[in-house]
Amino acid sequence: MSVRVLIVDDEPIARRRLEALLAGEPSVEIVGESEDGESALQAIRRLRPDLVFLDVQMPGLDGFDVIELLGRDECPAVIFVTAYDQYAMRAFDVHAADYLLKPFDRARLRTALARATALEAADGGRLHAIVDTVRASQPLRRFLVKTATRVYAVRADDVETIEAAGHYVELRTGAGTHLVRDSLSAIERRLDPARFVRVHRSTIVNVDKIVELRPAFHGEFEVAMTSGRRLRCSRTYAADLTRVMQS
Amino acid sequence: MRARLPELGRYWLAAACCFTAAAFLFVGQVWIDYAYAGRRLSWGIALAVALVDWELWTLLAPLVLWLAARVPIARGRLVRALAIHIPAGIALTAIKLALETFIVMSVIGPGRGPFTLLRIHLSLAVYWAMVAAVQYAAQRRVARERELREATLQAALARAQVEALKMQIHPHFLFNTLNAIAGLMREDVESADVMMAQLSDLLRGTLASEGLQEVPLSEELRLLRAYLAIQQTRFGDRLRIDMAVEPGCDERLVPTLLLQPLVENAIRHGFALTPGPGSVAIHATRADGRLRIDIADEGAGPPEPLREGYGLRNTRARLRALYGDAASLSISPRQPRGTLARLELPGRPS
Repeated sequence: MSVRVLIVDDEPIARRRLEALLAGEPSVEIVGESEDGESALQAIRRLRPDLVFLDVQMPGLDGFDVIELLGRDECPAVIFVTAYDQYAMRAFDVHAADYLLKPFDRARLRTALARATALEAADGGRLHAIVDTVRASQPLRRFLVKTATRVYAVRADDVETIEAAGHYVELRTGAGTHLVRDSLSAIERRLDPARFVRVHRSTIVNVDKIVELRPAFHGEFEVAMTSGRRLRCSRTYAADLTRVMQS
Repeated sequence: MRARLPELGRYWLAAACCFTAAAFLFVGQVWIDYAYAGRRLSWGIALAVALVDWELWTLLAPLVLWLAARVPIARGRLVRALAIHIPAGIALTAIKLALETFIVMSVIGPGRGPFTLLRIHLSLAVYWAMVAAVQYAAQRRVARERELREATLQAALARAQVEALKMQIHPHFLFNTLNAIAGLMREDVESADVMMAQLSDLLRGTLASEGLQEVPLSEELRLLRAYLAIQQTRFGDRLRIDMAVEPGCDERLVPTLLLQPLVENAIRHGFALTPGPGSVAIHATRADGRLRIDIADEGAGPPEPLREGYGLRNTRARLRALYGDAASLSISPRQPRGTLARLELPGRPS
């Protein structure tokens, strides 16, 4: 029985090269190709490949986003492909995952292929653990927003405030609002503490988007944002906010 | 070359110290002069007379220093300088000697005093010594400023070279390019060959830039075209590059390696992070005798507020050191999306 393979890479020549190398492997059947994370996600769900060659750096959703958005039981076996990404490589090593460094040769590809197909089944749990390790090693730079029709990324740079809203948090940017299913405290742990500060039990602000702080009653502050919004910073968080803004 | 006011203050202080020292050195001479003229002064009075002689110069010094700073003895304006300083020297000497005689008389009382024409010569010499000192200090300052500017420019250029090299050996760029060459070798040897040559040109171009601060735009674009051609091959139809150079721009001078980091930003942050097709446009135009270079992408736009990285800060430092206020770089969002980096340069002809 042959292995059904999906190739994911944003560069056409890189896809064709992998395709050409895999053409020499009798046990491999290429079922599809994707040029970015979003189409890869759809292709994996639609085609149910056994194995995915997954480029790490891609526009929009990257390779790790794709895995994060797949359920553990939806995950196929994955061979990561990267030019160089020190965080990713460290995470692969930590979890003993196989990966290919571009450009790789046929021998290296065969080794990876043999290892991946020797495994009984895809290990979604381990893939998610790799993603968690990568995420933990650097501050959150963008948020993944899922809607009924699509998934997209919002840059942390563009976010003005993050507010708790039930089981969700609401991100406000200059362009609008976005709902992310997560808790405020879980998000806070992953944010860069030098840029995102809690001003209220249910609100985190991007200090780069603060225009001014105005002292109000009882040691509270009124926080004026670049969008023109005004927020209240409660006394509990006032000291934290002024410290971060001064640094 | 004009001295500034705080500097004149410092010169005046130095002059005052010199004149006071001279007064003390001349006490003996004053005593002897008066002794020859038949008047025996006490040492205290002799000191007073010497102080009057020299401290009058301290009082007149601000005027002389100011005039020396205003009218430097410069090549091409020599006649004008002499036409001012010669009469001014004589006039001040006359005023100074008259004042001195009057004050000394009132200190030691009327009577015969020593007289020698050498006093006139000495006074003129003091005037010219002050003019010369100001001249010397001003020239030293100009030379020092020139050296400092040179050093700043050299350092900024070296940093730009390092940045350009870092971009070319940036693992993501270099290994993806090598991977693309490896891929092309299987399907189109000719294209693989071309891409290999482009990568080599790019690396060599940066290594070989000979420390020149400015090069003609055409020269700078040659390196940029190699970089863009590689990116075009990598990304294929997804990337659209639009380069337009108005006639007459090619020969204008631009700072070496200045465009590359801006174009790299447009590709890496503007194009490469955004799914779907995108374009990077580079337009060089002439406006009001100046050179304007726009680099635009269709990415997510600059973060607001923009956190300027090392490369942009270095670019600004170089523009300032090279052109002062005559050049500028602005980074702004585009409508409906993307970033516009606009360079305005004096664009002197090469």
